[in-house]
Amino acid sequence: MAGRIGVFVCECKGQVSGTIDVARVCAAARALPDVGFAEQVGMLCGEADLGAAVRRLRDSGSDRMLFAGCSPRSSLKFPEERIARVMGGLGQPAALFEVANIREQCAWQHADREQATRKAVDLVRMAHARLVTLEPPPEPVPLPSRALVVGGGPAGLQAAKDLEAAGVEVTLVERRPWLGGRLCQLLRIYQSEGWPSVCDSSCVGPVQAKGVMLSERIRAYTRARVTAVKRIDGRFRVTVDASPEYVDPGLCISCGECARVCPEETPRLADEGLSRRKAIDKEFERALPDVYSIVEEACTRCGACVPACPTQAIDLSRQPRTFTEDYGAVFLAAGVEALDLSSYPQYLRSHPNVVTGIEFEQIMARGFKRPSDGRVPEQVVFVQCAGSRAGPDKEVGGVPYCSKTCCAVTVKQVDRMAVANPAIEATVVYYRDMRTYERALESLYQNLRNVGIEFVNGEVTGIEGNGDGRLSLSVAPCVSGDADEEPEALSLEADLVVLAAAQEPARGSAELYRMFGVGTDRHGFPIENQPRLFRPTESLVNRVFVVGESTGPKAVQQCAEQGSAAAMRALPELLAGRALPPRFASRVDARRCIKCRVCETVCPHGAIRITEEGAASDPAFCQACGLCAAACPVHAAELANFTDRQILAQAKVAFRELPAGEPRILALLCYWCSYSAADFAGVERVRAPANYRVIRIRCSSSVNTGLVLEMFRLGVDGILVAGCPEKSCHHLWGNFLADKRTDLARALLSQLGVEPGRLRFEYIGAPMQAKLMTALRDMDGKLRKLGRNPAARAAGGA
Amino acid sequence: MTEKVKIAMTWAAACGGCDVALLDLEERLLDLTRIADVVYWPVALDFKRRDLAALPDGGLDIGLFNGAVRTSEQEEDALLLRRKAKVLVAFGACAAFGGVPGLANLSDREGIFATAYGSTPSTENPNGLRPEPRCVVNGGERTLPEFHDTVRSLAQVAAVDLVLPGCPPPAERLIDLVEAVARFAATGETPPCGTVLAHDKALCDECPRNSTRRGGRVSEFRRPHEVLADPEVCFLEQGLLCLGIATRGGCGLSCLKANMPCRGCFGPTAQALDPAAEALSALGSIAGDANENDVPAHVMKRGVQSIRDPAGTFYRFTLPSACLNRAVRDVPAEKSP
Repeated sequence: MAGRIGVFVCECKGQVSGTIDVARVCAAARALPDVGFAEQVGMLCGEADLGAAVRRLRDSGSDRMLFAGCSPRSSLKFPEERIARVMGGLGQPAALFEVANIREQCAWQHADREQATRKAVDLVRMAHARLVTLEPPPEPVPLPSRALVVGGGPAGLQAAKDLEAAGVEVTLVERRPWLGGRLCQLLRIYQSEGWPSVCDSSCVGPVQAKGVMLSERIRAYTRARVTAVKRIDGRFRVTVDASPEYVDPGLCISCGECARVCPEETPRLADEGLSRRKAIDKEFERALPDVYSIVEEACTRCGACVPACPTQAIDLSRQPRTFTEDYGAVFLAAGVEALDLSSYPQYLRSHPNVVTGIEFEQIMARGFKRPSDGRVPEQVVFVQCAGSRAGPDKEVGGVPYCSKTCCAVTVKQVDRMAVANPAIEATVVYYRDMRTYERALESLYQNLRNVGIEFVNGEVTGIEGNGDGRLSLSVAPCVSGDADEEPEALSLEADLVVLAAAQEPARGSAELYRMFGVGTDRHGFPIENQPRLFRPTESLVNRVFVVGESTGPKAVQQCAEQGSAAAMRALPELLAGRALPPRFASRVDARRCIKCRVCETVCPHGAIRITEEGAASDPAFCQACGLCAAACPVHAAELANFTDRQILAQAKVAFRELPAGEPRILALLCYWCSYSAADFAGVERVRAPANYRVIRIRCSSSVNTGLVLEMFRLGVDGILVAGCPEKSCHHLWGNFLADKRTDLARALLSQLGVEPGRLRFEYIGAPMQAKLMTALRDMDGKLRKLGRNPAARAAGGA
Repeated sequence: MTEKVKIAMTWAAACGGCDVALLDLEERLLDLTRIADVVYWPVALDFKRRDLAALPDGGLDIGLFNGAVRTSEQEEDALLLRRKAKVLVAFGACAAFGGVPGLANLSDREGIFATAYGSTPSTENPNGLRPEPRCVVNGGERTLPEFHDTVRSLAQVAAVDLVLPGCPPPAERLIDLVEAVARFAATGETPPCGTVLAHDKALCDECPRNSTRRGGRVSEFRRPHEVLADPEVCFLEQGLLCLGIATRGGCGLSCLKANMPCRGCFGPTAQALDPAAEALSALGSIAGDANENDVPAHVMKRGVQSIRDPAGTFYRFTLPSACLNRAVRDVPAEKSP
């Protein structure tokens, strides 16, 4: 490839050339292998210079570009995304360029012209060392334009409808017999930030579900579940088990004749078992699909329903349906459900008149009749934070987080009750705060206070049954900062208690997330992809979207918003029918792989699969963190365009221009956060020691300890590895892995007599340039005292 | 080829196990004697060094060298064997990578002498005598081999044609060696310089316990004496540090069959940048629970902190051939200009 590299060194109209001798940098670049030309430009981001540069590249037949100028990451005018476009415009693979960051990380940081110029030459050499070995990015991976939605609640239905509207084929899988999810179990749904208006679920439930049922591009399966998932070539091969279709939906007219003759009864799911249904029945009148269903466990196969059906819709010999299909994207809307409070005896969950919020919705629908005897209660006590916000200050346990929707739901319920039956006395016991979130709900809450509904601040620490269906509640005061208020224990009487139960991931969802390779947090909620702010609904696995309450309790409206957002996120790839793997996609050489599964363990993105031949990395799932490559004990895994050889090639030339005796400091900075911090230092014109060089690595954990040792052997005096701040790594745990391995390597080095201070790890976010500079200055100072790296001398290194 | 192959074996900084291991060939040892004449084997037969020296250069066909190179005498032996042998074999882990004696590179001559001739509880040396390369006794000069500061592998002293790893090399690989000798006897063919008589892939690949590997994290590494290990389950799954992930296979799995994790005597695979770093990277990556975002740093690091003595663990057989092949002490700091 002799002479195919075009080099542009940008003066940035004095911002670079004011400090750096650009002509000297150009001359140095010209001397490098395969360089066709190296030219000085005034401002490459300007249309005139850029146009001329593109012509120059085209006329000279260059296929690679080395740009020395502003930061590829932080430049606001000429970032790497724009350079990739320029390369694409030349008809070259967009990946074949490299940037020597001589502005933010050189001219803007060093005052001494000689030092800055020397560093700039080294930076160009380093960029060149990478550039000559770059390869085009992997080919696009074809994807089926078909989506799977798991969960038929408001979020899942919304995603399905929006995808369908855009022309995507959708399969929807719902475990319960109806579509609409918990929305259908709520009597009224609050709907607006602005004013306290409500929708009725018997209206909006079917409206949402109808859109799905009537669509030709959506196939909806109720009483169905995902049983197996394989991630192959960017797609999801999913096996779904659906219950037998005993009642033909095309023939069923929902007349109810079958239920009338059915002799078997079973608790009704839709009202949380407050009433009973027949083994063949409909869960509720307005349920969709509009078809009667059989509860397997309750049906005795007596056959009484078969002749009763006027349309001969019933066939008890039908078998379960199982199918396997490939999908290009998956939407997990598995939702939440109430924490099982029976393990907290304080709440007396076994008492019929102690109910959860969702059960109370059904009680409201039945004229407020209490379960024990069907009488309308006189006093209802609502208990907030039942199982939520558990912590050292709270007596009863549960989950530590706020379940977020309960306060608003309670306010809505108290309001409904006050309107519908003013004779019932309502008391709300809230733990520490009422948090209604939506603007409308806050005004409703204030309104309730104004009309005299009693709100008691405290924690319910015990409920006792007094016989005759009555209950008494012990309320401990919340620890308050207010010294004037003498906290006192209270006792409340009630004949119905409504527990605002904590919400936790729906049972069975853990297995679902595991099958799709989606990591979960300690509460079982799926982890969202970093940076979470701007990647709404993305899980850690490409094209697996987590929507609705699956990531935490939400209002119905927010669930629908998430369904829409996820559909929008997925559409570009689904409609194009292909995924573009990253230019740094990982690959595993099966000939070396020993199936130790370390790569699979560390991959946060579910991109590694263990096959008969060995581990395989799927480029369409790979997010190019490099964790697999650095952890692979036999170097079978590596990242394209980020190989050990390429990193070492950069390290080898990094200090050619550094005068002897100056400590050689190599900073291995993670692609997004820590590299930006080095840029920001320049942006703020922070003066830095001129003897450090940066290699922009992928995740901080993408560099193997062997490379670090090899760098020391090559004569580097100090190495700083830096990654994203804690809890903010783009690859879930990459920064922690790097931190841990650095500790281990330091222990090893110190046994070898190498001062552990020569190797350090820091958590450095983009705006933490001060921390980066402190670390560099500190290393520089220490290394000047320590002198040359003894390892390099002992090994006879450079 | 009518003439028998001439073969020699010598030892250096070694325990003698390699010499004994030759007997593990059992009746195949007779095959070896059918095709080869042992012309020098100080451990077993009454030869003197001058017998070897008397051979013309290149007059020996196969030279087997076991042990690391620690003294000037061993270095001379290595160079002598190299000169005489057409094929020089690094026999066993010590010759191949420095072996257990190589761990002495964590110290140096002075450190070792200070301990051995000074500070051990059983040492009585009131005059502080140390072995000296030269001394005058009764008017005559007596010499001792010089004790080097650094232990080296054979390859760091002389060009090695064949590497036979293991501590000691197992019978299966010795048979490979016999076959290589036979091939040489029949055809005069020598394997490419640096050929390793072992498998290219790491041990995990052939481990019968590999199928039990689930790929979980290791909360804390425990040492073999702390656990009653399940004889069929992957050691890593049991929290035992096993180097099978980064050590060449082909050892015959004798440690694993004895329910002991791999300690690395077959050395690193060809791709390794350093004999310790790859295993360290891999095990450091899976050490600890997968809940780093939820726990404080000292809990997060419990897993890696449970890996005690990383140098002794990961360089047990390989320190002299490592990237940084010895501990560095007393290097005067350069003054900054």
